[in-house]
Amino acid sequence: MYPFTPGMPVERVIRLAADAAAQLELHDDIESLAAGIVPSAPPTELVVQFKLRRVLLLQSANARRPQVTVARVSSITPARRARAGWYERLVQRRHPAHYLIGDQRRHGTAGMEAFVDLLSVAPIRTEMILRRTGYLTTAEMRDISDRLVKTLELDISHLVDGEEKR
Amino acid sequence: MTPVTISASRVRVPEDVRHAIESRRDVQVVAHDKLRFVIINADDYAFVAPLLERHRQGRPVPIDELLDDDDYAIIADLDAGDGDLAVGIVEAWTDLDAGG
Repeated sequence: MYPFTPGMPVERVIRLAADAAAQLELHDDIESLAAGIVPSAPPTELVVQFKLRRVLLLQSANARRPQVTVARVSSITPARRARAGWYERLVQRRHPAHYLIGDQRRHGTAGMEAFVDLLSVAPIRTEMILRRTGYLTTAEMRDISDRLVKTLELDISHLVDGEEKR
Repeated sequence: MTPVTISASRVRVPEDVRHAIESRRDVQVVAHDKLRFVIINADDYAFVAPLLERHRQGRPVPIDELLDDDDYAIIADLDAGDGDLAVGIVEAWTDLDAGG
């Protein structure tokens, strides 16, 4: 096993001598690199890219749980905004899976429009969260919950029945 | 959930709105820039009513039925936007420390 998903392109660092400049060897996917490595080989140096990403916490993050579930936050680029049908549903809060943020300073998007993508929900290690950039209100998080019920295709019928009986 | 039925004589629908509904166009009623009601053609309502009822009962609806071509274009764009990072690193390889 290796800590990357299948198909990820990587660049391997090749050092021919200690005093020679390092060279990069491009592999279209990590499987092709891994296929040529024998078990007794020393660790392989790779060049990887990364960027910081905003996420929305869907659970309370605390030190007792090593993982927390988050939803991806993505920016609204001009190209995405140009998809009028999608953007209109987003602005009118009618989109079943995406939730517009950024119109409030407390959202922490530096005044830029963005959206929470409830189709991209995953657990991450709590220690990977670097800092808090903003927050959503209880009412906004309720809207998020409504969308999670849709995107995760949850069956909450027994909960709805319970509500009606009260 | 049983719908509330009222006589047409109790509702004043402007001519242009009536024409829009008859030509199968949805009519969105807004107040203070917020969508309040949507009036749709009766035939269209018959088509979406089962889905709506299922949602109201709290039963799952396949999310694909709620997405359109624009949404799938956005989803593709999100993946492409990250480039090589899209498939990225799954998580930190901290289990190595535990001999995993």
